[in-house]
Amino acid sequence: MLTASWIPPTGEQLAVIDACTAGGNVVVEAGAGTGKTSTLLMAAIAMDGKRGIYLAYNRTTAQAARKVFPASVTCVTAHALAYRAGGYRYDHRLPGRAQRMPSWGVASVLGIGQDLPLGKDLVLTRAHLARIVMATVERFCHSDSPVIGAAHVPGVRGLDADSFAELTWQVVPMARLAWADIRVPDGRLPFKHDHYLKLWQLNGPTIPAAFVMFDEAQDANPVTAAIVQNQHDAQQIIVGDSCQAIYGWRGAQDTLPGWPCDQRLRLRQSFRFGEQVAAEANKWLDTLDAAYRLAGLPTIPSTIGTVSDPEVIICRTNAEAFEQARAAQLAGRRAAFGGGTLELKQLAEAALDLNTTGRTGYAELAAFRRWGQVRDYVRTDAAGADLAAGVRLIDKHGAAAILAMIDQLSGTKTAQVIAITAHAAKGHEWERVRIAADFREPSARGPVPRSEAMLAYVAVTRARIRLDRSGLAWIDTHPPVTAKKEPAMKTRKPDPDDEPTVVKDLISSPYAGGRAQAESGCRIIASEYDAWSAISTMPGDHPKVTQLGQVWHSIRNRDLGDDPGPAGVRYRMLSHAAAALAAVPDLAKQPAERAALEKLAGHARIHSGRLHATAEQMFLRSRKSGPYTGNQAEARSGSRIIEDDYRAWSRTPTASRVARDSALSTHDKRIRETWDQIRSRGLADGPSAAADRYQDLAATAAALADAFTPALPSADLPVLLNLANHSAKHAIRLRATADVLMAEAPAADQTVQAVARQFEVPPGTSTSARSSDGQEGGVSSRRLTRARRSSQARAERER
Amino acid sequence: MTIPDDRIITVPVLRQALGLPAERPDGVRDLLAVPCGLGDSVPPRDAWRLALGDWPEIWHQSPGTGPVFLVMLEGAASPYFVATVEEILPGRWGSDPESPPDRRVVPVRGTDYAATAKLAGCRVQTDLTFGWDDVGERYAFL
Repeated sequence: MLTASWIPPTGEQLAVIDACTAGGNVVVEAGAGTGKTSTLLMAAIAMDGKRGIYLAYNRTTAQAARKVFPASVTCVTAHALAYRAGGYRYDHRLPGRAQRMPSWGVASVLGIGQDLPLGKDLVLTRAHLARIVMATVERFCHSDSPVIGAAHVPGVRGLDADSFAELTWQVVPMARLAWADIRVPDGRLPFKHDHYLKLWQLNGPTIPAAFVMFDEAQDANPVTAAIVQNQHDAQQIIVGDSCQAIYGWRGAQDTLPGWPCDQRLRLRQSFRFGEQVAAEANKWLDTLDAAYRLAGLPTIPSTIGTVSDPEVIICRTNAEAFEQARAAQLAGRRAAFGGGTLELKQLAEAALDLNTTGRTGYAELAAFRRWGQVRDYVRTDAAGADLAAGVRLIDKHGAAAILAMIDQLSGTKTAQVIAITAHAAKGHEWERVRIAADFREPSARGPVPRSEAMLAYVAVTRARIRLDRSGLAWIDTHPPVTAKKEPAMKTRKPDPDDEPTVVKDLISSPYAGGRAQAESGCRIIASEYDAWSAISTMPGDHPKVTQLGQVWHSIRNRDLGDDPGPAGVRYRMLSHAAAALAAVPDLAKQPAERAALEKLAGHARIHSGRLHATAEQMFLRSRKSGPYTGNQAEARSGSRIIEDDYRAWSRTPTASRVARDSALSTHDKRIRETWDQIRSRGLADGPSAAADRYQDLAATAAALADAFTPALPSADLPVLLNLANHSAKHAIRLRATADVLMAEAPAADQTVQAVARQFEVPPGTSTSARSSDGQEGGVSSRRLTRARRSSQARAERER
Repeated sequence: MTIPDDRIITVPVLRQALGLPAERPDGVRDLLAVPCGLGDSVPPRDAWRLALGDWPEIWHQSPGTGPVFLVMLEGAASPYFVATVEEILPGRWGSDPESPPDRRVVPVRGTDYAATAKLAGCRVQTDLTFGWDDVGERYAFL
């Protein structure tokens, strides 16, 4: 509770006040009830009217602070500042004012048209994928990162490391697209308060104040902490308690221990309770292995024991809090539900409406037509988690009964008893407190999870005079094991070290989002290359390190400036060079480095495949994929390019090595045989048969490129890939030419021989000659269009 | 930096003529190049919108890593000729958060950079191609 006490400051408080007036950045670790607000208030007054900001954790705290702080100090939340700075532009899209959008709607907006197969037998539905994308955006908004990256993708139960890598690869670009929509004022995706806070942080805001007092820093999201830490022109006064960091589950990080500062001080003398409650609190501080212990105020006669008429019942869950309020009400006491009843009331009314009319006036649920849909939404959609407790209560008691109960509940100011969760109770204090029984002892009598120990510490330190600790009494008999440290978020944070070793399946879908999306792929590869560089133990002059460095240099020089095709070839080289280095025996004892290289190789391969698919799609859509309008003369020039490619390949020392390599010689033999066919037949038997041969050559060259062993030099891979790519394109154009000729031939002459004869035009025909019927080189523009469409359709089918 | 009499320059020479290091440092994309067809009129200077995705945000966060010059190269394919050089205001990268990722604003100053006078018409030796589909996607970092 925010109160201003005018008791003479203790030595600890004086030290804080002196540090604040001295002007440096100060971090204060303040135990429960140690008068941190009074201390901050005294410091603000001592700072002689300087203009300051008191940054509160939530609106209630900010409102309470406004009543006690001097006018020179503005008491606000970070969200309020962000809202004023530009968040108001999104007013119409904020929760409560816009319809809730189910995940299938999000999938439609994002253009997620297909389910995503992962691994051998797992398929993520479009809706599930959309949920993961939006969860990724949420995690990004809680973070201090400038862009969405792989670390923001939440873990998914049941996915192995390889599948998770594939998922990450798909989700990050989609999340970036989603964020691009969200940040536009008239975007279509759901907009949340955290979104405008993130937008504000990305703009690098300056808070116009001489000092910023940042309260409850242990529960700040990194995004808020980053805003405060960037206030280089303002004095930073950071206050909090690492033992009350109870919002880690939703992305908060305790930034207190690492906050850069000039002085770090503690407040341990509690003014809220006496020695017995302090002793009870210290049991939990022991469990948390905290750096301090509380001292109770001897003048407060706090006791521990049964409380028959508690002012407040602190519960672990909302459901229990509602049950306690209901029970108290049935027992004839004026009871209040500390979690707030407005939302529950609206939800119950919506349930009644949906069950009876299939419509609800509750704007947030306007998209639903049955209560069952809301139930499914809450059960399966992370975005609906905030409604889960309410939905469970309605399902248990019935909507009508809930509404009746709510009508009979009192407000917190007039209630004789308030039932409240520990989360909601934080920051408050009462004379008589009872702890409910839903704080469960760990079943295996193992260590108490750290988050649960912190909640217990918060719960027991709310009492001033009398504490009924029955719901947490098990701590006396629980084995004295330090609370287990756990990840900040419940969802799995991807660990770079446990990500995939080799990505098995090449994802060959083109970058539908164009270059902007492809750039994000490049960014992932760059970060992985940097990650490997940071831990590399290999000598810089090792041939495979040099090779990888050279390939990387070529990528860094060009980025995606070229066509996606050549860019794809460069990333394919990178994949090979990284895999080749990973295969070096010296790295057997460096599993982390090897894993980093294998990850780089896998992702570079996927990126290469997607760039190749993008280039192929562009080719098929362009005029370049149409028939050879100059008939055989132009087609021959295409063949000459392939001939040059083949000669270039066969001249490389690698081609000779491949011929001698028992594992690769089969590929080499097939390429030679195919080439012999091409050389002996040329285009003589018509474009269709020639197209088949060039298609074979493309396939055999691609197969050899796939089989390129780590021992072979990456530098020769592009030669082979060029042969494969050019052959494939040549085949497409030859087929298009054959289609045109076939369409023009009389029905009776539609034989391969007839087509071949037509294809062989008399020498001297100009490739640019335009005939009287509008034909160009013997092929009309209408036929060109038809042929291009036909070739595109065929190539799409084949692909 | 002296421009050769034949007015054929390499990318390192172009960079040095603009006061940039001859070779682009790691992680730095300080020279942005866009192509235009031979004889095309130079587009309005306040309308540079490219498919930069979220590069502008990154460059806003790390001002030293983003483009400071935009060079317009004339030609459908190599050889390219320098058409104009514009100065970019690095502090204004990311000032268009509402733009879609494929239409991010390049915050140019709006006047030809002084070096344009000596660089315009120079032939740039590079095998670079600009093969992306959309006009806004055709750019490169030199």
